[in-house]
Amino acid sequence: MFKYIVRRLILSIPVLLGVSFLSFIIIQAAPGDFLDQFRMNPTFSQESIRLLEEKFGLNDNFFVQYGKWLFQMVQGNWGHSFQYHQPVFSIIWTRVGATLLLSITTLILSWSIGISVGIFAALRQYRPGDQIASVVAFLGLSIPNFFFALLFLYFAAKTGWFPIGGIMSINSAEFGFWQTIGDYLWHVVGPAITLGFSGLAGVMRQMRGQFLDQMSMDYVEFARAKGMPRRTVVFGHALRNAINPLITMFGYALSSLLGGAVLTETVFSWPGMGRLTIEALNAQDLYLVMATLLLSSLMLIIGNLIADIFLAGVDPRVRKRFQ
Amino acid sequence: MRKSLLFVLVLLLSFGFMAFADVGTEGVEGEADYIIEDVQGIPGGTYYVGALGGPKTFNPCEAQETSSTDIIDRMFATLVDYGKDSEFRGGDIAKSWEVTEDNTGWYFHIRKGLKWSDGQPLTAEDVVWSFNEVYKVEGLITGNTIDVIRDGDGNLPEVKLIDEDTVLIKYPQPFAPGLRTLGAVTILPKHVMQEAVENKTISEIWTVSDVDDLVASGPYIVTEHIPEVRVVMEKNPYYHRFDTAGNRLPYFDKLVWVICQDQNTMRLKFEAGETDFLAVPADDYPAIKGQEQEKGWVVGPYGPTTSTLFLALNFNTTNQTMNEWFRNVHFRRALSYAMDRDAMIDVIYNGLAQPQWGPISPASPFYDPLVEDYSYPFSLEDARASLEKGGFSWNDDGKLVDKYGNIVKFDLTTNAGNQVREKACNLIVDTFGQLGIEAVFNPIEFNTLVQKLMNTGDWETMIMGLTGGVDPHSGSNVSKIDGGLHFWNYSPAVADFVDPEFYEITYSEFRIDEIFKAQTKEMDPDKRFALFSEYQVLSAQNLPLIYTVQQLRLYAYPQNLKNIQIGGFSSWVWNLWGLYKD
Repeated sequence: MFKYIVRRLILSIPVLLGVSFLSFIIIQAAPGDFLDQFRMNPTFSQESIRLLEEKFGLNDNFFVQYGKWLFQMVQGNWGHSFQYHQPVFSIIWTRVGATLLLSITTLILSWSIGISVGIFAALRQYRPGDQIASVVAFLGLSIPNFFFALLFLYFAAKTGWFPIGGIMSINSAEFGFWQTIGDYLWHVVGPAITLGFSGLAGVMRQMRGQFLDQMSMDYVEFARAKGMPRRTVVFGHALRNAINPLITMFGYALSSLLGGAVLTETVFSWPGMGRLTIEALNAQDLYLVMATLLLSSLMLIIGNLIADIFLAGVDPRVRKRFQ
Repeated sequence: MRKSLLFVLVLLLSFGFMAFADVGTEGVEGEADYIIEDVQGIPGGTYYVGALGGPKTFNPCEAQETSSTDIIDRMFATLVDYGKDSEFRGGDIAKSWEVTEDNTGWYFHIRKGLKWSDGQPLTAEDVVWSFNEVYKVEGLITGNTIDVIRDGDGNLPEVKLIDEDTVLIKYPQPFAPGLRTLGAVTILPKHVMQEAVENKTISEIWTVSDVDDLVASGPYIVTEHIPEVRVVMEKNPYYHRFDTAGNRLPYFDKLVWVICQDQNTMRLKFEAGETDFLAVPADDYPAIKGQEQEKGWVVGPYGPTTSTLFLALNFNTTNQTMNEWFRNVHFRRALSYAMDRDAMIDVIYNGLAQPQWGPISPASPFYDPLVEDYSYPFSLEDARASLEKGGFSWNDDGKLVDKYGNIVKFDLTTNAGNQVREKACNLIVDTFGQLGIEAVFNPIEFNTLVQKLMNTGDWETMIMGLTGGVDPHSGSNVSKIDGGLHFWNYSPAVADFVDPEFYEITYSEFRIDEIFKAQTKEMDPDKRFALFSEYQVLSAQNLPLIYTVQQLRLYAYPQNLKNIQIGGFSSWVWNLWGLYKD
């Protein structure tokens, strides 16, 4: 098992290299660079612009820039942000809290509801309960996030039950510990419901489909025929077999933990990673963009690895293959 | 772990220093040259302001974008103090100044007994150090103070300590804009920044994560920063202004910047009473004005802003026929006549703007109303007459043709996503069409546009804007023939894409260049004004850039906010120390 993990990690190195090289090409292929805003400023002399190009390393050719970046990367230095004048990681770090708060709440929301509703719908196949669940799921899948977010904001503004965006109240500095926690949770409801609603549909449909597949298998029929209690058949055998593809899905979901959700974050003024990335892209803050992209790829690789390990945990067949 | 230990150590050390300083300098307090302002108010409370986007840095040497400088400028005093319309109000850090005998520099007398917010003395030494060790060093910082303080020929000033309280700043020749530019330079705390300057790491200090390291000399200092949520500034306990009743200013204990993602959020927060000031966008003005009575606000317009919006024609495209049109002054005048500025004012700015005829904003003390005599009010007849004068005529389809029979057609561009500029382009395309001129509107992304402007010259006409400073000297780079932003007719010496064979300049361009060289040495304010007056008239007559309209500054604040006086250049910030709520 340990050997397997090590092998997977080593294999991920060329993947990351490829991702970083491609990303670097694409970012650099965009016209202009970070200094364009200075070039349009009448008070900047050309000499100063040239010195800044040198300072930021923007006058080197593409391969030299990539090489330098890679060399520093290997030593654990992910580069400096042009906009913030500080190492990119310390900027990303300031957004990790808000991003995780939102993504974890969303994950819990969509997966807990998605799985239970999925099972519920499968057990009542083609009956009204199933139909209603399906309609809700397709609504969630088909309403764009930004639109749902706007609807929610409208609702919040009309009723005053929820805050209009943001992550904390304006007077939050005076709050005690529990009040602060409550304030955060109160603010996360809107974006979490928006994101959770669309995520829920996928989980629910997947769960329902897998579960129905298993329920029609011979071993289920056999178990029932020999008089095994329905509970044991459903939750002890069918569910265990149906869960495998969902674990793979869960691995992918883990990879988006740090990715952020640009549209939803923007509508809700949520200070997450998605907005940071977009801002950095707009300003052509090269190394900050690179760091966020690479972090996402890294999370994808780790998420997949975790999913595979979980899979080995629940499925003896997979475990066997490892040995 | 090690980092946090270091942090604790630094914190302990700085506390140690603070305690030490407090004991050491107590006796000097009485002799200090404080500024007494003729204001009355009630100390205490918090002033909430909306900010569009969060700060990128708290380092005055690095900050470029207004989301950072709006905050940083509240933290630092400068040598000279400016009033609401950017006029000289008197000294800030400097108590007074006098011009040197040979008219090439100034003696600044620094106030005695000033202190930084950590209690350390703020002296002439800090002033000299800021100039000599930071701003005058090439390539040390990202900011461009080094360019701003250069004289007309690119010389840097000599900065010397004369005695304990006097600093001499001197150029090799007279430099008229000098007092204004030098007076606005941020003075840095030597005792805090020296080490970073020596290690050349000054760019990396005072980032948005280093709130605890900041030291200020202005009315407020940042004490808390929650990214994308808010920046909290607290009163500087050693600020050097008092009111007549003997209260140390500013009145507000706290200044809180509420970070908003966009104009809509900013407006919502103001309407909800969460912020105390709103720079009203023209689109929202009627709605905000409508609530004035009910909500108890003061809403109104104040003169034009300093931003400009102009149509530029590229004199050096690869198409020589086209260049001939664009270089034809009658053609440019016709285009100016064909701009329906009233429609622009209504459509783009909801009626809250005014036409602009010359390169200097009426908000500037250098504005000469004489340019209004050289205006081009919307008239297609006048435009046609001017085109005929320039040798153009119309073919059977009603299309404009030049004297060789070429149909007049060109691309019009601007940076995509800028609604004001896009709307202006659409209006222009429409009225130009009525003249038989086909302008093809094709907005492109900002960075691409800059590349075309600076590196390839691959553009035909565009709607652009540049922000002007108080002194027209700040636009030298645009107006001088060999300027780095003389983009409509770059000199081949500056831009390699301009073919020297076809390059030409007109007398007016030459004369404007002369004016910009002469004005830096003209120390007599009246003569200098006359030079800029000539520049404005020449520009209005010859239209190197065709100016369009200028938005008015629109503001809204609650009635209980007192002492606020809106200004043309400074909005509400110039007397921040005097604002209070009752």
